[in-house]
Amino acid sequence: MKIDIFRLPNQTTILFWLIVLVFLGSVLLGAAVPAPIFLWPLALGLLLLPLRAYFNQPRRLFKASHLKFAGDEFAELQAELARQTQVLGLRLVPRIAITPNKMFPVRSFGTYHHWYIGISETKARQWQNGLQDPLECRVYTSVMVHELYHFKTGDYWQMGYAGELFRTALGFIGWLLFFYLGYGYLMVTAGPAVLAMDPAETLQSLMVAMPEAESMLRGAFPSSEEMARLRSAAAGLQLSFILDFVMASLAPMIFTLALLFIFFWRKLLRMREVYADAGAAQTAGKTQPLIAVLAGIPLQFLPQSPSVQLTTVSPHGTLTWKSILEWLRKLFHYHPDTIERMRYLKDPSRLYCRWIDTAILAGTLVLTLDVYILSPMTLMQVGAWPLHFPVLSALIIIALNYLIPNLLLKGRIRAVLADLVKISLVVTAIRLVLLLFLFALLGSLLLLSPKTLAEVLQYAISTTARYAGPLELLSLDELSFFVIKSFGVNTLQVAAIFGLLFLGLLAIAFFLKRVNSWYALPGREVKILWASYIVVAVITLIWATLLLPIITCVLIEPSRLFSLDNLALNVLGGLATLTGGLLFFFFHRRYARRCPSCGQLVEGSFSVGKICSLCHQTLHYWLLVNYE
Amino acid sequence: MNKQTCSRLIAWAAWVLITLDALTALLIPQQFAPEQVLLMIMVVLWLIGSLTLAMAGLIILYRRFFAGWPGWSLVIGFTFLTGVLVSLHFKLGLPANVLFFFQLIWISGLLNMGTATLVLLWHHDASVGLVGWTLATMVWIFAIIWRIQGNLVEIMISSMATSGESASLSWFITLFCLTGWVFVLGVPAFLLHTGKIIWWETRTQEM
Repeated sequence: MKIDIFRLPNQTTILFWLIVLVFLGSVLLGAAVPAPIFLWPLALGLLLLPLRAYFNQPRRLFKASHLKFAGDEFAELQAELARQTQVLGLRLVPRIAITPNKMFPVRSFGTYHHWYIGISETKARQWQNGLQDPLECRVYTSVMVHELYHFKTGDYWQMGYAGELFRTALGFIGWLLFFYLGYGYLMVTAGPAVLAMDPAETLQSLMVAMPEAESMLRGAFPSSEEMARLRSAAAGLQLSFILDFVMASLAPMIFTLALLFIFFWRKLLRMREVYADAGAAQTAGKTQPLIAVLAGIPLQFLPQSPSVQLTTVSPHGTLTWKSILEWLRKLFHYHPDTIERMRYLKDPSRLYCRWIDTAILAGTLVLTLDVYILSPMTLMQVGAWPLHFPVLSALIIIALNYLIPNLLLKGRIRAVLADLVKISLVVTAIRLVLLLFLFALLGSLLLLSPKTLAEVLQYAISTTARYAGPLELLSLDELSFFVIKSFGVNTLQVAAIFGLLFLGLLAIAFFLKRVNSWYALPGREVKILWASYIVVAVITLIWATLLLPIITCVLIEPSRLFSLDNLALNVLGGLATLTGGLLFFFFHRRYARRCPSCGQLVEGSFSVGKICSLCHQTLHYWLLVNYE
Repeated sequence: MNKQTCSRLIAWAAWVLITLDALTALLIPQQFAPEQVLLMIMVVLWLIGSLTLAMAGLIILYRRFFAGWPGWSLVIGFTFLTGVLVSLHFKLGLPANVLFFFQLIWISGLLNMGTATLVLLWHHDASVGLVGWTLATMVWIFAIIWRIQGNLVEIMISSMATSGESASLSWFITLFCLTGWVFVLGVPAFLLHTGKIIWWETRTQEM
């Protein structure tokens, strides 16, 4: 018996939403404050243009890869595909598209109404011939089912949309850079000459050329007084600061995109293969056919109960330099390596057991969002609501990625407590490293070269406060006060974030453990997971509307504690607590610890494989699946 | 008449028209009587019209080439080049008839930038990129030319006042026309391609 990973939160889906929400969320976060760049259209464009490109993706792929629909010579292959589609209960039969390119990897892609499996002609013939052979048939059917599982899990559209999102975002950022650099260059080149011009003189020369347009021209040109006012206002402007502001605003967006593309996107591509492998093994009832394909060994030479010795670092073992290097190397892979895939096939629960994976995932997410918050567009919002986004995102990611599956697998909070502490520590440590690095830099500058520090701060003020005029350099006392105060406030803030994150996770764990004991809940195969999602959502809402605003107000701006917007948020949080608490109480009393078969009370916490002591019914049997 | 013959006929007709226009432009008298003004305007209009039609016919006929970026760039580059030749005619010392011929080609080129853009956008769903990058490139061209030529506002005003210098801003007119075509055709092309994508998506599974 193995864990049915399709009954637990899908990691591919989590990664997909994480990519989309982090990128679009960070753009929208920037749009929440007055910004010189039109961020709302940008955010809307970044949401809709990839969607449009995604629907057009099949045609683009067909053209780019010279794909053509499989003809009658592959009729048997298409028929087998249709049969397997029926077995899996898919709503569409994917069409096979053939390319003469021998290097083309088998690829499942499509849109909502059109599904395709792209394959090279050589491989298609190999599949077709393999299907004729009684032994090889099992292998090729498994490969086919693997491809079909990309449609069943829905990762085909997630991959399609996220890929187009990256393409569009890259184009947008490239365009913004090119446009604003050109715009700045034009301002620098033409600005002084335009300001030096006398509008009355220009108007006079134009009226000589176009006397009939006199009234229109008089209205279009500024008066000499207006021009003088403009000149004096422009005299204080430093165009280099404006350019710095634009670059400093775009840099976090570029950083976010790069991080998401390098790590999260590749992880999504690796994860989808693991899920498709698990699906193929479940359908076949055996892992051997797929292992035969992965290992490149004919099925007849594989032992019936394969005890493949997978000699690399153990996932639960101690961390060594070798294992860390190996792990780092794997971070950059687009595809999981063969050994890794075989390991997941043998033990699918490995997907959820490594706390470090979740810690790095959530930590990088917080770091990405923090870097974005360092952008001039959002710095003015420090302490205000949008900046709780990183903590809340980390809370959700850890809950979905680690807490829900591990509480279902291990049962007790005590079994995950140490990991929760470690995850929260790593997430805050990543943030602390960034802060310590910045403070070390500021501290060394204060000691070694205060003038440089004053210049750096002047530059920071000019690029973040949207004040492009000249500033007086800060005195040594002011500099020391700034460095000490910012160090104190920010370090305390890190400790507060750790506490809030850990507390939030404990609260979620407390409720999830109880939700897992709702054995008698009707439709529990699906509804237990939904109840877990609701628990995560309600606690996140309470944190977002009640706890975080109150704590932030107390720490940063106590006068805002009783402001109308803050009170409205608190009321919303109070309502969420009340409604959530009542609903939980109702369901818990009704369905908790009752055996669905005999109706008797079941003692103790739930863990996978637990049986009712009276009727011997396996509780939450749907979490398990039987294959070798 | 089959498709191939028809294509060959259009190609021949276009080249014959271009040759005739070139000969007419080169042989047309420099001076004419005041009562011939209307006739000359009609001749010039005919020359511009036929040249534009011939060039548009060739672009559409060889759309396999002009539907791609190299073909489109060729038309745009060609128009810019003839514009530059027209603006430099004083320095180059071009005879009046040759200048007139280049002016005709330039004006037809300005109109046919639209045909080339239409052909490109018909075959490629590239309107967003085209509009965006044209806008950004326009800003850069302005900045660079300001650097080279000096105060463009003053040049523009003086060119309006003295008709002889108007040719020095031919690049600006070409750029203005290009941007105009890209915006005018880009927006409907984007909408039409979006409609096509939605229509494809809602169709039953086939391609």
